[in-house]
Amino acid sequence: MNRWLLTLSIFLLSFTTALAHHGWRWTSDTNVEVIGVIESATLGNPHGVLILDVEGQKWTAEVGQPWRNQRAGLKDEMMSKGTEITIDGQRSADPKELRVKAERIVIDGKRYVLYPERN
Amino acid sequence: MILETAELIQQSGLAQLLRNSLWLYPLVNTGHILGIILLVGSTLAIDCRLLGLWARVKLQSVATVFQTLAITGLILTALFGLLLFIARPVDYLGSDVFLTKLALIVVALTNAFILRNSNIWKTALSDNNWGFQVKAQALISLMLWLTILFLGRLIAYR
Repeated sequence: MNRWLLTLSIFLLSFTTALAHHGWRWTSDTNVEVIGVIESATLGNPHGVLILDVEGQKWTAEVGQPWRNQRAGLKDEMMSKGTEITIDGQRSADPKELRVKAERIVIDGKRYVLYPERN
Repeated sequence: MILETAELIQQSGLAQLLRNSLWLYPLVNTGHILGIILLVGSTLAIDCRLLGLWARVKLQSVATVFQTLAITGLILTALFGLLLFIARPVDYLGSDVFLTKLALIVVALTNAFILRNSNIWKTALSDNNWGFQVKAQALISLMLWLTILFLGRLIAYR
């Protein structure tokens, strides 16, 4: 029983991934531009998440869910591993966290606007 | 081990189908919410009755209607909740809020199970009369389910 609990605790502590967020409460109000190469992508519901290599630093970029991406003209194939991508959006309010929620995305010189109402 | 299993599930065809769908995911979400409405709403009605509301209505009548609805709701919530989980198991297992929510669900269900299989519950139903312990369990149930509801919503924001 004790061993089981210990295993469970170690297992829980070993997780570092976090869910993507609803809304903008967790972001800071200023925009950042993050340019990097996609290392991995988990797209789709409830939110799409990209892991980017930004000059050796690992950034997490939150993109839209399928409806929003489709409206912006973004297809999943465009955000595959190795693609160079520019994310314009709001950074996490926690300065230690390298995480950005995308408002606009640039791939191959083309701009995709996820949140047209946000400038 | 668990992480590897979670990753296997996350890469499964069903998980991909759920993640990439335009319509299926919102429908599954709706099913989960329908289950919550039935489960939490019905439990709330029973708990409030036990705490003294609607004294003119017999507990037997309240229980007949709302226990069935609550169990139906529990099944729906669990089933559709499992589908939502399958879409992103790695993320959910890494969320403190999600794990706390699951733990509280176990506590709340245990509380309900103990009360429902007790002699004081049988007496409460037959005599329409109950004491402090039943009321205490009803209050605990009420607080637990409302907390679980809040934690469920919080997963999306934290």
